[in-house]
Amino acid sequence: MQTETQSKSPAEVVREKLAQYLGPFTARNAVQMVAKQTAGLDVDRITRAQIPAVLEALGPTLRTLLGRATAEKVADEIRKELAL
Amino acid sequence: MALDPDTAARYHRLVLVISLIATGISGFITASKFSTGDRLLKSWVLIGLGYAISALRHGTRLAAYFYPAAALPPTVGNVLVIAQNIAIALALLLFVLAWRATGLTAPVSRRAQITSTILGIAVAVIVGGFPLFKALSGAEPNVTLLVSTAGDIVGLSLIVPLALSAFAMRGGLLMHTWIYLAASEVAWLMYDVWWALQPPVATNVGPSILEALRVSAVLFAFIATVAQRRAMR
Repeated sequence: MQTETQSKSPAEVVREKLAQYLGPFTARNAVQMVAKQTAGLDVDRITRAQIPAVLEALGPTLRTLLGRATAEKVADEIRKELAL
Repeated sequence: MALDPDTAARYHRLVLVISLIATGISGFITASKFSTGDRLLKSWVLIGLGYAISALRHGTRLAAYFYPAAALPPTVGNVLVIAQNIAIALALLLFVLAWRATGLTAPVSRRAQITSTILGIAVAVIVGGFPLFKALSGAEPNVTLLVSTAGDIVGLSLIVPLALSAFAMRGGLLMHTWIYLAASEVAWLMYDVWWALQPPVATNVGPSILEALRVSAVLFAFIATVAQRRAMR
């Protein structure tokens, strides 16, 4: 049986988590922007292995808007959800 | 039953002071959730500081109703007005610069962003222009009014960028922080317009509306401080 997380792409997991804070529009844009920057890929082609680099690139934005502690908490939750 | 003008003035001042104290404290609590080096730390410290200074100024004016000796010397009062205006204007400017630094964009065209921002600045200059002109045109320029109005113009000019950031984050927890910061400035804008026009309405109603707008502006800022903490839980 597939779990909910397994049925989502890694990018979707990141987008959904960020959307709680940034809203769906900005979450989608932010993930798209860093996917291009870090892997030169379209967001939906990002693999699970590339997520740590995506989270690293999202760090400054999250730290700016949410502070270091919350930004790290959000990144940890994403890593946990993707079993990284 | 309407309150007599004296009691109404004291009541309004009391409500304002309570709102200012709550907002100042809440601003500092929100700042404490950020770490050294976080971009918004300074913004929230300045919000807390701005409202704490305002609480001090209005608090002493409230106390002076009962103990006239509690009144601050005019120079001290003027310095507090200047400090408060600089703190709030700078805080809001840092919010807008922080958003810019993220590289995130609003869901409207670049042209619409520029047009709406210019319109916002124009409204701010029109609203703040009259007192600014008054401050500069006297034989001795009124520095307090000048700085206070310049702070108002900066704050009001930032309504559009703050609202656009909130619009970009619609549906997310952080939207509330930014929309209430913008709402606070809108309430200050309405306060300034009402103050400048002073429409001829019944006794007590005019000042009451003015006070309601001022308390609304402070409470919107209070809600923004709480909204930021809620997002950081």
